[in-house]
Amino acid sequence: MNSKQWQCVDAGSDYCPCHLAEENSCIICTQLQGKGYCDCNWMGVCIYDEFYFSGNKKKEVREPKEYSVIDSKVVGRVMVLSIQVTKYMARVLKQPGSYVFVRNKHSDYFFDVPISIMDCDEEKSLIKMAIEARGIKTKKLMDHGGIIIVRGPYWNGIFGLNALKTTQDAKCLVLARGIAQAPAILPIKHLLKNNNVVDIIVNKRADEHNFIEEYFGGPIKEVDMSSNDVAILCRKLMKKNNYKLVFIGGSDVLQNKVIKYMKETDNVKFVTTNNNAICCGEGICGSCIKKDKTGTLVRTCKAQKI
Amino acid sequence: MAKIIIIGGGWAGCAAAITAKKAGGDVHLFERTDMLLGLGNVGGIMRNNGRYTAAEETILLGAPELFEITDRCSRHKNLDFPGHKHCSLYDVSIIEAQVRRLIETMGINLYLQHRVTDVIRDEDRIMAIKFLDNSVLEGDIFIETTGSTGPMGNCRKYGNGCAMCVLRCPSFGPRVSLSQRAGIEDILGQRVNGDPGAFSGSCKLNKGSLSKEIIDELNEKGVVVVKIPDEDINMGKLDIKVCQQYALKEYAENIVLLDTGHAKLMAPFYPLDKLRKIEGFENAKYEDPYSGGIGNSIRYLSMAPRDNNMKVVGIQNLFCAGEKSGLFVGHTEAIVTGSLAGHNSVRAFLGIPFLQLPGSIASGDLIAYANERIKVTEGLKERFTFAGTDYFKRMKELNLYTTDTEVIKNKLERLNLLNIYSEKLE
Repeated sequence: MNSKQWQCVDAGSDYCPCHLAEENSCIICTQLQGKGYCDCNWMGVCIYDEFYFSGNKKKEVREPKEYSVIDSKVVGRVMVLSIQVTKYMARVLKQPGSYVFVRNKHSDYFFDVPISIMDCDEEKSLIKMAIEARGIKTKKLMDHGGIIIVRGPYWNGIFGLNALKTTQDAKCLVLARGIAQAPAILPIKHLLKNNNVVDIIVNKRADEHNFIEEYFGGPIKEVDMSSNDVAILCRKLMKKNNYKLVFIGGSDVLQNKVIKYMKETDNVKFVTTNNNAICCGEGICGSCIKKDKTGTLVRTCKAQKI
Repeated sequence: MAKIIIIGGGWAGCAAAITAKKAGGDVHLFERTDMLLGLGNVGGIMRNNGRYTAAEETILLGAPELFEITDRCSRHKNLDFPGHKHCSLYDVSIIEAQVRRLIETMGINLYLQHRVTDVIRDEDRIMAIKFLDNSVLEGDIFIETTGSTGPMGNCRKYGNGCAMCVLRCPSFGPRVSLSQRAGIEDILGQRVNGDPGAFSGSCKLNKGSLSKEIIDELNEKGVVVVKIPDEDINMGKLDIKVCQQYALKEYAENIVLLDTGHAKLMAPFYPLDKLRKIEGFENAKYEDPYSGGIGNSIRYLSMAPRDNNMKVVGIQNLFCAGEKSGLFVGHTEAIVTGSLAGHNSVRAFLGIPFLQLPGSIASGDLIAYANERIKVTEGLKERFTFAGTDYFKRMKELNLYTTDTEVIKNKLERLNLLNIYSEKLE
């Protein structure tokens, strides 16, 4: 019971089986946890079989590569980059929750910082991202000089991907605060594609873009999300609209207060940005590890709750 | 009314559904694929040796329905082949639809393509089952008949990889051991050398791919025995298979084909190029598993500890049957254990004493004997079937084997067990 509540976002992808499989720590496969029997919920091609047919080795890992920056706009602390990538990258990064690691060409690998994909143009092989200069890694990126190192694709930038992908013909609410507007674009597109009606509330901070308005037209409702008022507002909206899904792009504090207020009222699915510290993206470094309710250590750079 | 939830729609699950329904349960049967019967879709052997006795016992205990269908669908009856007597072979190509119709007409709620992935447990009771889409269904009593075969990782680790058998894990998802999810550790069977699991014991050739002579003989007699070239005889194969009742010298030296609609080849697998060298097999092609030239499914990796009432030890309201409940081989064994589990599930709900089949009938003795043997390491290498191996010997020694229905009837009458499965419990 409860032992199988985590699924790996990379399972069945070009990068599965990974380092974790080699180290007997696969998130899904009990054979590749050294247990000697099958006990998984994975519905795709058997991971252990893939491992066998890869010569009992992991598949090739994501290599960092240099790409050209086609367009770079800076507004205040935020820089929006359009990067020319391969067709493959543009295609696989199109799904909600996608992110890549980027760094300045002149920086060492430990400057890699995970950045959400804001949008993809598959035809032109472009990816777009918004980066807020906040810490050592992001500040260093501001001075990219037209070339940037990208490692990807990664997909676990959002928790609740399954709910997001399976919601159809429903009313949904999207909250996005500050730079978390960027990872909200692909989910909104996905929800609209599935014939959902999406209400959006944004909290842009001083000198920030209202990215969402740029994408989806306006006016988009703006609310200050720093106080508890936003949670009360959400509850009111929920009573009125009976949302089936709520997306919250923003800090854990914001997520928790909204979820707390709404959970009491309705059976609603929550989709949230993954705000954990992610350093390697491969489940190895341990910076993203959290304990779930059962005390299991979860590598949140890869694990999705099911 | 007792809400009985059965997970796994093979022979054991169907049998449990029928007796639970007859005992008065509100029965819900869940199957992950789009067909009932599981490996019963590629089996077919009934009533050989002691299975005759066991089939008659279950019929007289009050659950004749499934045997009526297997008898009705038999292509051949009273057939003898090496080591086996008075066998019936049902036609695997028509049996499933008939069982499905029976289940539906009996008012059993059937849910195909419903994948149960977890249980919700409270202390020593299961409260509900959980489905792939995270939905939840509560019930009073649960019966696990998910079998012990596959999934792909086990077939890879302990076999020759997925041979694409009728269980179709890649299409419908892997088997899940619900007793293990409930915290009860699975028991693993072994083959002679101590490796876990065992290969399924037969594969099926497309009958149309064989020579006219073989087809005619199969259709007429039901069995064809063809000598294997000396250089290809592999005695080692006998040690790896599930069906120890067919692990006889004759089966290593000969190709034994049985007519179950397909041509059932009594070996776990047989390399296609070697097979095609034999006269009459020049165009041979596998029907199940599709890769029967390299391997077969791996079984016995997931048995639950149980008592002789078929209740899982450690969980108050979970029963098991079929291969999930021990190192059993065969449809008859699945139906016998399933029928008892289904009947006892309603007793569990009503809080009345369980029915334990006595050791004086073959069904009761097999259930108890298999349970005794599973507790010792050597026993993990044994298989329990009315059709052969040491158990059939034991049946004869204990005077449990008979093909005289009157004898069985009199015995059950004396034991006051006649038609006990048909009584509605209150």
